[in-house]
Amino acid sequence: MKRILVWFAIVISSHLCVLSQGTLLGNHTSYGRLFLQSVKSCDEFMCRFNEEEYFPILNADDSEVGLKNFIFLFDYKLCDGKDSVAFLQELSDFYHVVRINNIRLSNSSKDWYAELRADFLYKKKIVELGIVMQYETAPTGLPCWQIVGVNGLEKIGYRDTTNRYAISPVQHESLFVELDDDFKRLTNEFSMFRGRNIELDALSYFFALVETGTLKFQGRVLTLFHFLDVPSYVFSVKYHARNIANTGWLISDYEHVSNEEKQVYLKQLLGK
Amino acid sequence: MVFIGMFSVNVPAQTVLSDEQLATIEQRVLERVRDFMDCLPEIAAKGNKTAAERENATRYIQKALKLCIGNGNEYKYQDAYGNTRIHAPVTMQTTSRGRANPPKPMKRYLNSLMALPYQHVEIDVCEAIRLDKKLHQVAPDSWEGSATILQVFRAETGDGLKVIDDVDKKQITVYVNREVIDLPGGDKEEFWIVMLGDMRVANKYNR
Repeated sequence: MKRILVWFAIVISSHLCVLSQGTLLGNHTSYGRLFLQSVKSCDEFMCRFNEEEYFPILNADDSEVGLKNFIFLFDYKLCDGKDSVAFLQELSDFYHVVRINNIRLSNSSKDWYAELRADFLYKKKIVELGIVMQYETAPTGLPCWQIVGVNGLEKIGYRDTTNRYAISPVQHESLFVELDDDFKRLTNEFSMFRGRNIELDALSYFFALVETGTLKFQGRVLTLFHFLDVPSYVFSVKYHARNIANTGWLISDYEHVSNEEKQVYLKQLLGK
Repeated sequence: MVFIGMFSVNVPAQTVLSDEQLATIEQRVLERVRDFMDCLPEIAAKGNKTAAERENATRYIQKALKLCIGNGNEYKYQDAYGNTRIHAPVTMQTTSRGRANPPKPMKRYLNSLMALPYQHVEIDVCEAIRLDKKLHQVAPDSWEGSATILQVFRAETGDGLKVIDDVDKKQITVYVNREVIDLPGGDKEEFWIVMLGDMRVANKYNR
């Protein structure tokens, strides 16, 4: 571990150097090397994670190439405020779980989610929502992304509470006249009149708001990929645009979690 | 059982592209990108163009648009469910003063390029293009993927003053169609037709 730590320190310091100016393009120039080192697409992230290819700076004959390659997939800023030995140990443990379980990331994984964070205009206010998509196969056999969840709706009043508003049991005799007033006064919480066992569906709520023009798309903010493939781990990948070698699609967040915590994470992601 | 049989009729098998096919496609993509980038200096150079220079630049605009899917116009396509949909014209994103600008429709971008006041423009494209290892099949003989390139854009005014010297990492959506032709003797030859889609800035490198 000590040897890796020294190596990590050297590599990270070289990662942080903005490469010197190059006048030509190609593999031999600084920009070319920076280009090769960066994780340029989600496809390349998966290839490197799966060790189908390594970061070009690494020697494929090195006995620790797999671990070093894995470490390069992380945003170096995750180390901030942490003890570097403990941080490297965490990554090493993570790596061994990946390898022992022979985890391979793929587009067809049921544990892979894309989240598009986007701004919407709702009642003259801008709100950011996360639209969660998953890779599916259409009946034609062709792959595509489909929306499977949405998070952040609580910002616009969506709530799924066990509390309910009751309608008087005698209201049928007065043709439910009480509801006239409830429709006016309880517009933000009208869903609480639903039956005790009826659950709200965040996605239907979102689609209704979009299709009625109540929620208007303003612009994309960020794309994140969430991977739940590794047992006891969840991690997210996002794009880091930098002039240093630690750039491109990198792991920006990871957590060691129990199965129950993983389910909670997924529920929050999908807005359930 | 009958249902399964009927359903399976509509499901074309996904073709897995071989490494050799991917290498050929990568080469075609690089050629296509270079062809496109080669047009840009011809369009942008020589501010205050004469009528002949404008005509020449317009020809290059048409050539560049022909390399783009839909020729830079809205185009119809079929999605994975077989619905006929309309795709917006392809867009180009550029940077200025270190910041990425909102993407512009390609036609508008190329026309605005013609109006730039530069006398001399050079564009280099990195050899080390990165094409996705996994292209996504969207029809029996069509795939989509993304390619990342490194592009240098240099522009000089008439007095030789360098006013732009940008290095951008750009991601380009690529559309790949396979065409197979029959040759005499029963052989078949495979062709890959690559069209370029939206081009976005992935990184702006400060110089």
